[in-house]
Amino acid sequence: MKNVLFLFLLAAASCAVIDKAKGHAELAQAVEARIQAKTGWHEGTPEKEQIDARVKSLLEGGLTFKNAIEIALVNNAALQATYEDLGISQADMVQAGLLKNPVLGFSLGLPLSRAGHLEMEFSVVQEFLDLFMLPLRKRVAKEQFLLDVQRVSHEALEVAAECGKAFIDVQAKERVVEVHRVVVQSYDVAATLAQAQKKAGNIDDYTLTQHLNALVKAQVELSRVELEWVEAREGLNLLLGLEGEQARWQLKEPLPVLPAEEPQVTNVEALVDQGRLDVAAARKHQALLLQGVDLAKTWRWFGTIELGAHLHQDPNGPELVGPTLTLDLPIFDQRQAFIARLEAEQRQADRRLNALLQKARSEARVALAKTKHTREVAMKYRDVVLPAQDALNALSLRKYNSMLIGLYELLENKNHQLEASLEYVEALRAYWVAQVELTRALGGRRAEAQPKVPLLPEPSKTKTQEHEHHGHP
Amino acid sequence: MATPDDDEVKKGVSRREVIASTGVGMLSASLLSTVPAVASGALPERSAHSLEVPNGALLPWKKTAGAKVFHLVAEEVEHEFMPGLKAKCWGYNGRVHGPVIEAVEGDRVRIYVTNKLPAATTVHWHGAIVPNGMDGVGGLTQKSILPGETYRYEFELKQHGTLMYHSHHDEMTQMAMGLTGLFVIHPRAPQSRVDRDFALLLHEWKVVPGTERPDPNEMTDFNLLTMNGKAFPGTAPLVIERGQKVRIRLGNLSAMDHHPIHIHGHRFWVTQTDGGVIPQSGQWPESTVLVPTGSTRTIEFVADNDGDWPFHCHMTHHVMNQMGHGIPNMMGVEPHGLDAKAMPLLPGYMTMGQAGMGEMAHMQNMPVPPNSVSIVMAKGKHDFITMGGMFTVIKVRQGLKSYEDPGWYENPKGTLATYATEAELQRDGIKVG
Repeated sequence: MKNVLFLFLLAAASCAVIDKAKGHAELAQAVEARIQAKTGWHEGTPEKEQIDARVKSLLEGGLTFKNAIEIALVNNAALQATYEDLGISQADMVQAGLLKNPVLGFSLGLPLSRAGHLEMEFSVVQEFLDLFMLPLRKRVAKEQFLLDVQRVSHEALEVAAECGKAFIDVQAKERVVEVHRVVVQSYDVAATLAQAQKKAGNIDDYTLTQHLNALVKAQVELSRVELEWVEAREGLNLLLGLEGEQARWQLKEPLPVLPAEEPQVTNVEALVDQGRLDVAAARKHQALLLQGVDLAKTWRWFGTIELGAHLHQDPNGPELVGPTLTLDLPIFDQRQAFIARLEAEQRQADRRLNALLQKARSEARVALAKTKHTREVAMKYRDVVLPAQDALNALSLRKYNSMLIGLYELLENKNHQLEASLEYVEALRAYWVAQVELTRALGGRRAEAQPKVPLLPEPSKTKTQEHEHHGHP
Repeated sequence: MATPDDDEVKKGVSRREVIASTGVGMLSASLLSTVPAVASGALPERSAHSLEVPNGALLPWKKTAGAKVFHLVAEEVEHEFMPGLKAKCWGYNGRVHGPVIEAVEGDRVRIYVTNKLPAATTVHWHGAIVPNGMDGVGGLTQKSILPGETYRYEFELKQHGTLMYHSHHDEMTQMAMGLTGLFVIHPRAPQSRVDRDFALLLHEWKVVPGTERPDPNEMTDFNLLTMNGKAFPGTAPLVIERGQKVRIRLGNLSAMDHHPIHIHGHRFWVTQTDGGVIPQSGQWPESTVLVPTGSTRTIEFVADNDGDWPFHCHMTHHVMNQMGHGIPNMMGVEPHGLDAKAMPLLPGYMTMGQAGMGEMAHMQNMPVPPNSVSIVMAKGKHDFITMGGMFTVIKVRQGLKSYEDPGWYENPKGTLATYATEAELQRDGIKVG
């Protein structure tokens, strides 16, 4: 009998090996299928050197949208902390598969009279019920672990979306700075003309001062947008976990123009139901609670099932509660109150899932509408406003050639063109942000359903030529 | 309308005999067409009534029982101010301005006016002594002529002189659009005979460069100044045989401006106003005559000085074409530092005007707005002529074969300003800094 017990204990212990990669591979797969980016964590917590090497290679030759997201997935500090939930969850799962250590009993009988003799008794007590409940507990813990994988994957997608938006923001702000530099150039030309006119005796101090002030205002405005650009970069650096030399990356590609074709996204509500991992996790939680209620009812005369354990706070989602299972004998407490509580919690999980679904579907509908609207706006700028501004510039030069207008009016036209460029940049930014939001709201998209970033045109030699050829500065 | 009688059509040069014989002949009833009035071909014989309208036309007429019958059709006309600039104007009988009505003192004229405009109109016989109901003032002296209607004006010409006609209904719009013309009444017994008798109507317009219609709302900033509807270099020269006695009738129906018209190489006598002949004792010689708006002045002189002589308004902005007047003052501006900064920002830009407008003539290959003539300048014999607008050339020559443009004047030796040689400067003690 003792040998049998020993073997049993040995078998239970051998099943309970911790696998470092467990959960991370599933997470990596889920993330890649949804946003086509690698986590770099598929084998569990990488060494710091490994992370540094990966970040370094992803920064090679300038930062791209995809690489920024991959850096965030491996290097975002908060996300790294979240990934460790998988280790904790796995440990819990392993723990759930372990039997309680046997209790070693020892009793000593002392003789009351000289005729008596000393008696000793040893016993190993292994709770019978624990053995009985083990498979049930393991099943629940495994479900809980899968739920945690979904939850952490969802967190990774959230970080990826934040990072994507921050990256687009940096691209847009960089363009805004470039345009504002041209604006300063324009006011500088006007100020130079005013100074030359003043030198020639053609304008008074009043008019000269007006032009010089206008230049200073443009310079101050440039400085303001430069600060916004620095702030945007730092925001992205924080998401990417980059500091020091690594934080001084250059963008590899400017803010992209519109894709030639808009990916067809239909039936967003179904996509949300199928794709979102926070929805899947909430569903699993709800199922676990339902299972818990059944178990509690079934075993109420044999013991008590206790559900409820670690609590996870997801900023955008519900609180996820994982169950643990214990059973004891219902001698005094037949657990009627606890079953009622479980039933209430199960209904609550039901309602929370419903609330989450409503919110997620709404987010997806809004995001889809935003991609359509912002695309239309950006197209208007690309096809109508900017060509019109270019034409106005060319026409104003004709007027200038005819001495119908002067240089100041030419520059005013140039400034209108630059304003339109800034509005176009904003339209493109809004479009690409909306695409990221749509991906997030759908819980990811397959590669073929993602918008295709158009290839860059060959860079022109000078900015001015670029204005002429591409219709916007 | 009377039946056309083609056999008795008289046109062009031959018509002066018609007028001389006080309208014995009959003119074509194709009254909508007009007669080119610029003399051409062989030199015509002298006549008291050989009215010439450079760039213009005379209104055909026909004699019926008791009246000379004319027909004016007010309509939209695509008018060319000069090569490169056309606009949709309002005129009469397909012309801007309307053809000159020519008649003789004592004539009874019957003038039909057909309105093919989209607005009501009238015709006022400016300066003519007419019965009140024939004065052509919309609302005051008659009902306005509605689109599609034809009205009849009929009166006896009790005076002679250079008069005008124009719309007197919504004048601001209709005259700005071009509804004007000259009305010349010859004296029945001429006191003074001339060899050449020209008629020029002065006008001003606002045609924004790149547009195709005059802007009638303009009050002050006119950018097109014309003689018989043409801006130089669109104006036809007045070609005159040396020694001819010349009369030039100047009418002004500009919206807001008077024009001091100046002749070069000659002096003239102002002999008539729209009120008639100035008594000889009241005439004086001068080289510039102010023609107020709403007035006519007639000048006479003997063309006795060979050459190509400007004849133009002396208001300097009236001898420019569609230039802008709000441009910055660039005189004396040092362009180099400015160009270095502006050119990268504005490809195609180059600083201009730092020494005035004269250089503009050399920039005519630059792209400019369509349908505009702001910097167009005519190439003269020696260089570009840096003038446009209300400007024409009187060409006086000896031994002309025709009144076609004889080309540029060949200056006799020693009569042309040329580069002063070092020897000349030394001879006359001129030191050049």
